[in-house]
Amino acid sequence: MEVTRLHLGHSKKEAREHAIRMLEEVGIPDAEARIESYPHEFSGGMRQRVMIAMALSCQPELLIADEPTTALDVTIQAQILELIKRLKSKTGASVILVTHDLGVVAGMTDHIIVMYAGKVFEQAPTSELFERPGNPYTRGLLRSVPDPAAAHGTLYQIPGQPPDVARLPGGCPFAPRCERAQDICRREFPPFVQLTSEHFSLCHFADEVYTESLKAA
Amino acid sequence: MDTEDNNLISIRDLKVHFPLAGSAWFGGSQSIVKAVDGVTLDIQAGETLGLVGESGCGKSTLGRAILRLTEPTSGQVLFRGQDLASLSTKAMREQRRHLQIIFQDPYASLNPRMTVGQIVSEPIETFRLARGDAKKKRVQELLEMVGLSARFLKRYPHEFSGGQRQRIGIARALAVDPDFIVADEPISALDVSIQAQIMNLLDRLRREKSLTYLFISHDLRAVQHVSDRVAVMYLGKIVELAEAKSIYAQPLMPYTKALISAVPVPDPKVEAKRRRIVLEGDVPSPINPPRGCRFHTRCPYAIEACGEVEPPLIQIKPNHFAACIRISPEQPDIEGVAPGDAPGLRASSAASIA
Repeated sequence: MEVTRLHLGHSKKEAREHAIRMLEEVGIPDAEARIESYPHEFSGGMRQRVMIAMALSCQPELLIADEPTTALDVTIQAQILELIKRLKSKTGASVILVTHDLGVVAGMTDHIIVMYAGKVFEQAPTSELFERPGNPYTRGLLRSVPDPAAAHGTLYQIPGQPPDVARLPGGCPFAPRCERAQDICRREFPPFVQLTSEHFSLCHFADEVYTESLKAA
Repeated sequence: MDTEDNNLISIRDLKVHFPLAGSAWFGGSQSIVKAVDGVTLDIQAGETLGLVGESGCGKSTLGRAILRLTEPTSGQVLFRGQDLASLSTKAMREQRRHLQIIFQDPYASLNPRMTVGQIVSEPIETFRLARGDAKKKRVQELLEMVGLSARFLKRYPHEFSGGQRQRIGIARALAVDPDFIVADEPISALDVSIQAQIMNLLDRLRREKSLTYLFISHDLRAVQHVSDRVAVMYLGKIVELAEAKSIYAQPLMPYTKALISAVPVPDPKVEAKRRRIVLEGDVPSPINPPRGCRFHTRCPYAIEACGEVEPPLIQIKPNHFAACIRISPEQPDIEGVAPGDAPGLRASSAASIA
């Protein structure tokens, strides 16, 4: 209610009615009674629904969902992702989905930006990024997820730890963990290379990595 | 379960019930949380048995009850033929040398006031396995085994990253040369790129040390990758048990089907095509779990009998067990069963007569 009174100038009564409508919209059963409930009386999935109702109550054009399902169980995660998809197509809002789960981005997004140590490492349409990654970091991430088709065996692993962002090494921040790092990577910050009209990669060897991906695909 | 001899651990009708404090007011009956409610399960020597389920289903409690870090209410845990559940506290402490645990939270499970050297040598001292130089050498060996440098001996846990701390926890568990390790969500708190490192480490150690794991996780992809067999738990009960390959390729019980279909696949082409079973509602409370099949309140295939009959875990296909009255060995595919029919009811009554 707080939000719509502030932004939409709703009266108390209007705000209450609007809030109930929003709660119904996100699938809170018995919204009229539950509007009196406190957060601790809800389950994790229900709380996330309330958050979404709050975020959408002023019909925003952009919704930033920061790890919206990370704390939830998979069956509840599926519910919330379906809800975000449905509301997105209904309201026409754009969504920035922040997540570490490659499975979630694969099913939910049109474009992907991969970040590492505060920098954009790769940017591409979703299917392009998964099929033809142009950055060694992205490629490592994709390969380190267990493949359901090829169970068992040793997983690909990116060596080392994510860096301390306050004390970044010179050159490319990923160089200490990169399997194809050369001298130049440790010395010079890499360029943001354009691979196609919509595909960019921050890497001295972006073209080579992309060519390898094209061959593998 | 024909390989009886090869079982390292046999769990028989294990129950862990927690009475809720203060709930017996005004002479009402006391509420009881049935975290684990009648689990029978064999863990074979040398295997990794994956245990999956959503939060609150009792999987961690089951893992802890095996080691008696949580006291079982009833039932047996047979370890090499000896019932751990009935041992005295002192006798159990001796047995813990063979049974260890790795915890989920590498931040909370290491004493911040102890150095890495002290943490890893503590179990060696407790069980008087080595002293002096031999102990020192053993600790160094352990650190190297888990991929840490012996230079770290004098450092404190806060100086390490999450993945390194989990390695310390693993070194501590291995210090007593155990046979069996409960890995309770060992990778859930870690970064994606670090998860692969820890999974590979656990797998390598299992082969080198002929360990047996109970790998508890809510991450189905991880469980599938590391496990030989997988058990699915829902509200205190095992509802499906099979080899990892078959449980993912052909889940039989509707809950398992929904659980597997809910896992997002990191491949946009697969994601665009697949049909996801979205379950309604939340997991019910384990205080008053639904009667009959505990999943019937959320199950798209539930019929009236599901709310009345508690389904036993029966063998539907070779080495593939499921608890659902709507399927049977003759009709394993629930999609092919006539609406309203419960072939499992006939099968289980026939089985109980035999």
